[in-house]
Amino acid sequence: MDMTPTADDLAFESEVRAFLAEKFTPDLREGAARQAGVFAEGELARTWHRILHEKGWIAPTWPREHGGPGWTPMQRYIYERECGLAGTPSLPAMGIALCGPVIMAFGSEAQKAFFLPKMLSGEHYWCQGFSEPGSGSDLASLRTRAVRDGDHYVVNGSKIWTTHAHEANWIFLLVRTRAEGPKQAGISFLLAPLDLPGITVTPILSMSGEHEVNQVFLDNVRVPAEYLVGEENQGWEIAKYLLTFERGGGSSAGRLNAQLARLKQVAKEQPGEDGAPLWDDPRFRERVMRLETEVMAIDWTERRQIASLAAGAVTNGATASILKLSVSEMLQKLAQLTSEALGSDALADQRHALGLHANEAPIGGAYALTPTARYLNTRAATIFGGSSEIQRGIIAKSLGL
Amino acid sequence: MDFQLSEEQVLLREALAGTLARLYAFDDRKAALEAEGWRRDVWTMLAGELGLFAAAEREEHGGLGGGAVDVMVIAEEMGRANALEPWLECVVLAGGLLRDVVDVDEVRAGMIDGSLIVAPALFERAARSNPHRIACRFHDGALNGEKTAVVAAPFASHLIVSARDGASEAGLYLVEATANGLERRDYRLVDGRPAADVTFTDTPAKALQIGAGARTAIDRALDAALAAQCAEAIGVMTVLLDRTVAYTKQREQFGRPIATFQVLQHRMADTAVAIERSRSMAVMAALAIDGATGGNGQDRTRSVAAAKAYVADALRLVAEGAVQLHGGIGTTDEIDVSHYFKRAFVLQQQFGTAQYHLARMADLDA
Repeated sequence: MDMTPTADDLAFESEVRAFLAEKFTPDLREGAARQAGVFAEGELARTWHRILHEKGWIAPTWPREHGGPGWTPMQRYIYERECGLAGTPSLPAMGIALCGPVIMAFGSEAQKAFFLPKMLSGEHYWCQGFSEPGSGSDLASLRTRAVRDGDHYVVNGSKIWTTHAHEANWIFLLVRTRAEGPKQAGISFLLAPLDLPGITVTPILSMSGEHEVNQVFLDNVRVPAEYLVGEENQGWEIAKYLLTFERGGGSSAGRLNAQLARLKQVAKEQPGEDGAPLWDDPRFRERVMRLETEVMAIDWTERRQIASLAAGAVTNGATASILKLSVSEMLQKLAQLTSEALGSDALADQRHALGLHANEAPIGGAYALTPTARYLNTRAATIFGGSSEIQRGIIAKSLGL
Repeated sequence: MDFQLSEEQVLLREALAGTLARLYAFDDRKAALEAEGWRRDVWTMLAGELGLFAAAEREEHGGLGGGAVDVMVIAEEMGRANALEPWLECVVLAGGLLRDVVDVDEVRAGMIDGSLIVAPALFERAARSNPHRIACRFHDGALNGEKTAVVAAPFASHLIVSARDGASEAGLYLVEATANGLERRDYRLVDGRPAADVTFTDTPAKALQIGAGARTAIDRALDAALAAQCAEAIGVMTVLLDRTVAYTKQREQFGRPIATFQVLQHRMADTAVAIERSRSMAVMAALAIDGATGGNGQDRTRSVAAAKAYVADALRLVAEGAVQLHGGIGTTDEIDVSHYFKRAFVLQQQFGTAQYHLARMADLDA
């Protein structure tokens, strides 16, 4: 066993750092520092997407033949860690990270040729139409119907928790194409432009007051049959494939370590009850160290997973669930303690100072802006992409239970 | 041993429950949040028709002469309703700070009848929840300094401000909200309630208490507010559990109500345990305020600190669990669960976190 980086890895790391130093400009850093949502707001996401696309780095997981950089797992890890540490905008995962691999694995040649370049360029901005009001954890019970009518599917139903549907121009949908038989066996994977007649997007405000998610209504929407991915009724298999990317696709260590560094910074600048920096209080430091050990455990689990991927192993569902569970709970714990470290400034609703176009200063120091909003927003992290209860069920199943 | 509420207390609770449920119906409450963040007519009603503000005041001051148990009953109902009005700060805490002060009859009477709103301004950014680290100065009849997260400051008529005088003695001072040199930065707390950071620049102020009297008043009043806060937390947590039980019984996934899954049942059972134990702590704290625990003199501070430390952790467990078990809908602004969640968040931190109160306990034992 040896995790010493090779000379190539070190050269790559320098290249990534040099790129970020040049292209992740103070303006962009300022914008990224004002984000508290799961993903960066659309305008910032588009700008950063364009910059990464120009560099050829927008799709770290994609192979070279489809326009990816063709990186090794180790290079992907280095890239994501450096971006996380630098605090680059969190780009919406729905296109490049989720729908792209699905089209590569299950799409027709025509679909690959049409969709993948537009996904890379950012011309297509994707959202994910999986959950429904009646189908959350029990996703396979979904009821949005797609009925074949000549060259089209006629789609009726509703999707919910659709992140960035108000920014997107395309949606990938799980739809019911067969009512009989096992519920998993009657689902198809369908793509649709959001400007088709009959599609309505309505906002859902989160408890922090932000607009990230939506409900999407589909009323007699005629979707061309050429947008079916894979075979009719193959959708569940495709969805399960996609969910392994949603749950354990990338490396979160950089982002978690950046949050940890932020927590320490706050504790060093923020006074404790005795007037000395909070960081001087060993009781508080110990709580931070406890979180740090957990971040290390996640970081090294990710490294081990990357090494096994590099050795040719296939992504394993239980590992993806272990990472999804760990990272989502870690994000919550880090946000909670960072918010607590702020003292009375943690209590302020900072929504008027958040986002690219806010013109109010935060209450308290600049670092007081996002932690509490993150604490509120990360409540969703243990719910979306399969709740923690679902992940634990998958892990239990992998034990033969 | 007697843990029964008196007949009057039971009647008070019942009367309050009905009225508050009506006043804080979800849509009305949300409309108030989107408007001013509080409602003067509701404030007047709490004071007048319901007479809540007189509960703990002495009879010679026009109060009802009640104790911390009466306050506990009110607080729990305020929590259950997720009331927006700053009763905890501007009545329980402010009333406590004024209780032993002579020569403030007019302000106290106005506070009791709801015509005046007195916002305590005790905390500073550089000292978090420690009320005895005070940088504000009082000199020549005027205040200089800053107080943070002063709840109700945007609409208060008066502020009670802690400051140090030339001899570095702590004191409490009364300031009119319209006084010269008083500047506010208004904002909302996470739970939607109006607050402000307040700066004083040669602001005229009237001394209420100086020295040992002020320190005692601050400790006593904060302990009473903390005990009330614990009771309010019981109301908040009870609703969160009730909503979660109801939702999981009604929400079906995998062909059955999700409440039938044992893992969810156990989480709700843990919640129930935390609430039951929190209630015991809230009762203990209230009795400690009234000097009715059968303990010794230092009992009050230790009991109250322990109660807040325990209840703060319970609030987090219960609130986070409630949102988790509601799934996506629990994270939205559209359901009252998220509003109770945010109130629970504020209650955890306001007047000190669990860690701060554990440290107070540890210091008492040192």
